[in-house]
Amino acid sequence: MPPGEPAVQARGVHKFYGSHHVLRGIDLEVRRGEVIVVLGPSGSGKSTFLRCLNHLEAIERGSIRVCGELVGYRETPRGLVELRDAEVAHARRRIGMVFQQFNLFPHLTALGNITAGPLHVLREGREAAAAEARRLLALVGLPEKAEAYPTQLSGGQQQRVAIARALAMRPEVMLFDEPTSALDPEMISEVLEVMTTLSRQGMTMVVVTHEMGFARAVANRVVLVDGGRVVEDTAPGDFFTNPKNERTRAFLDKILH
Amino acid sequence: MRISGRRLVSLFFALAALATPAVVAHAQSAKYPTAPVVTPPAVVRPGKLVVATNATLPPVQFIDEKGNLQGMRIELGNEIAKRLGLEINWVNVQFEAHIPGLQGGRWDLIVTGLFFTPERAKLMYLIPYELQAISISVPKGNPKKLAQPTDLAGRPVAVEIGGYEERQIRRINEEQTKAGAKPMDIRTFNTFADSYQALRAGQVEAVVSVDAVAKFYQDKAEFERAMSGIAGSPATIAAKSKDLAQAVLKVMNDMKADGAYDALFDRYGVSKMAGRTLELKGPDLP
Amino acid sequence: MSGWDWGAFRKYLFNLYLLDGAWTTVWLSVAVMVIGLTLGLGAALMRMSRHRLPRDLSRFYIWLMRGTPLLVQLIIIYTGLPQLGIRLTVIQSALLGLGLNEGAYLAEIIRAGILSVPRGQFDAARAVGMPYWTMLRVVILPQAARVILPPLGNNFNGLLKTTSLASVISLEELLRRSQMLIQLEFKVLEIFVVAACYYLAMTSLWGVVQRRLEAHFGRPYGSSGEPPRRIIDRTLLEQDAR
Repeated sequence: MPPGEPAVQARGVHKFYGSHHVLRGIDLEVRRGEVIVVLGPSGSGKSTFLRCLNHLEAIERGSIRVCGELVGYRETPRGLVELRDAEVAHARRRIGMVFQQFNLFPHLTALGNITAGPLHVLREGREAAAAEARRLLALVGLPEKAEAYPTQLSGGQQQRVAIARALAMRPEVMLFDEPTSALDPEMISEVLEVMTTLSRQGMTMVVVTHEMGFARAVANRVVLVDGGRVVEDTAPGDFFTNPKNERTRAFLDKILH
Repeated sequence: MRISGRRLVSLFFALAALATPAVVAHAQSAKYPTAPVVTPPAVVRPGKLVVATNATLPPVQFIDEKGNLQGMRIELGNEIAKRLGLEINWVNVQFEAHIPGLQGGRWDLIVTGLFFTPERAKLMYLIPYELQAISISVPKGNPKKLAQPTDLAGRPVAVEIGGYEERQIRRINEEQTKAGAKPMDIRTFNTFADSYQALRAGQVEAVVSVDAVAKFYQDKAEFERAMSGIAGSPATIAAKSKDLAQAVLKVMNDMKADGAYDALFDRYGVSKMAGRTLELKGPDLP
Repeated sequence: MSGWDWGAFRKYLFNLYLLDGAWTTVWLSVAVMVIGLTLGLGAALMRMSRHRLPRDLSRFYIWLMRGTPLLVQLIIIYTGLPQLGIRLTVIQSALLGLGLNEGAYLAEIIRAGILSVPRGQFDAARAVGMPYWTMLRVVILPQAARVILPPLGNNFNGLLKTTSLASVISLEELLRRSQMLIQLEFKVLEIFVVAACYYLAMTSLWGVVQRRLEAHFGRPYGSSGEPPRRIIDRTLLEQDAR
């Protein structure tokens, strides 16, 4: 990624589900190394917006650039034209994603999950990929679980393997879609720990979550999305103690009680 | 009172006119009995004659566009049943089911032009009544100029499964290959219709069938009868029960005697059995 | 005709003529299954395409082949196509007819299998940068296989017997050979029972193969293969007590 270029740049993003206008002009900029936490009521479009960032969802208007390159579309004199599947797949290598439901591949071991991308997409050698996978497993605290299948792992363990799987592709940006919402309370902290370590290592992260503690401690900025728009976008200190927007206050009232 | 000569003649004619229907009726009831001549266990159902045929061979046994059974053998079967005082019950099935069905007691007779063979005579009673032989049908114009069985060497030929024709063409094939000719590619189909369809499509170069059928197709200007009269053998009516077989034999000899047999065969141009009477062949007969 | 003839049955049990017919049945079924799987996978994927043309083409194919009798399809291919200048041999016709037919049924089975894979798997595969075919090969199809195998096994089992329909275009497989032998030797019951035994042997053999395949694909899904533990590990009890 060229220096000085923002890691993520979303401008005027609109999205429709049929007639439902779910994203009504989102503007967001994320600089390299920043951790952005995205909050909002359910149905606000925050998860949808996250999925637009790596073109798991299409957009109707606006543009999204990751590391300077348009995601999912190509600019033509007639306007934006959707890229072909192979081109989109190529762009996704740079963007890692972690899902609320983990989405580990159940027919592969933890090692198999992590090496799947490097082996089949990056065409790396089997041994190099496996070695790197073991390093990542150690990073997320699960070195002994290399040969375990997802059904043999707890929720927290599965999510940590999922993080390792995303990291194996050496992404520039990591997206987290409510990574702890499906976990039992006692497992949330082990996942948040890994995410905190990642942020300290300088990874650019966009995290949709309800974990306020994480937002306060780790985020560079907190963004509130409501009704398909960005309502507030400030540092966590200001966000939680002195929000500018009425809607932010209402939202905080509802959650923090 | 004296009756005049003219009156006498009129009276005679009047009486004769009255009597004629009765006389005719009496003669008819002798030919077509009102009560069954054969009863179970010689027939499988009382009062009925169940006959198996494979109605895919015009003009001797086939189904017309209206869906009715027609043909020389159908007429023959109908007449035999009438003369036995039985109600006929035709069963139209694929040929390969005929003999097992007869053995299993599903029907009384097979009227389908069953060729006489010694093996079959060991299993059931046969009345040879018709002369049949094998023909080879080819496309119109006989493009490959097939004139005798040796011309079939190395060629694909179609035949109906399980019949006398299949046996004979395999025998001819064996004889020819022993003498050094290329073997034929003998393809077996469920019916003659399927075989002729394959010929139409060019999938085979010849169809092995019987004289009457091959001539019928030739008359319709669809296919040419390149060879005929091969491996001639009597066609038979088959029965499982000796009693029934003897009753049928008697009826058929009656038909020979009163000219019905000749009339039927001549009308269809089918070869008759030589000799004044027909004979019975079977497991316990010489 | 008497009842059952054990001598005849034993004689026909190892009859080379019938065994050769059985072999035809087996290799034809396998070949048709391979053709069917290829066509079926293609049709299933086209059926789920975003674009209209492949979707409609596939639906037409599935509708046509499932909606007409196999017998009619075979006869049309063997005796109808030559009128259009395409003359196929008996084997080619059988493979084409049976293959096309099987492919249409398998298309729906495979589509059901793919639909059974949770959407999150597609998301995760795409998120890791996999293009379409890689995603199918590495992530989706191995999971779909588990759902596809039982009905697929059903189909193969049926195929072993359905191949007998090809006798209508003169193919000599097991059933046809049995019919031909019966016409020569008249032992209807004994010969058909021998044929039934051969079919049973074939379908049973396939049953073993299917069980092995299901075990392979079911391995990651946990305890279904393991027998329950009778003896509880004492050390675990002791740990709980502390």
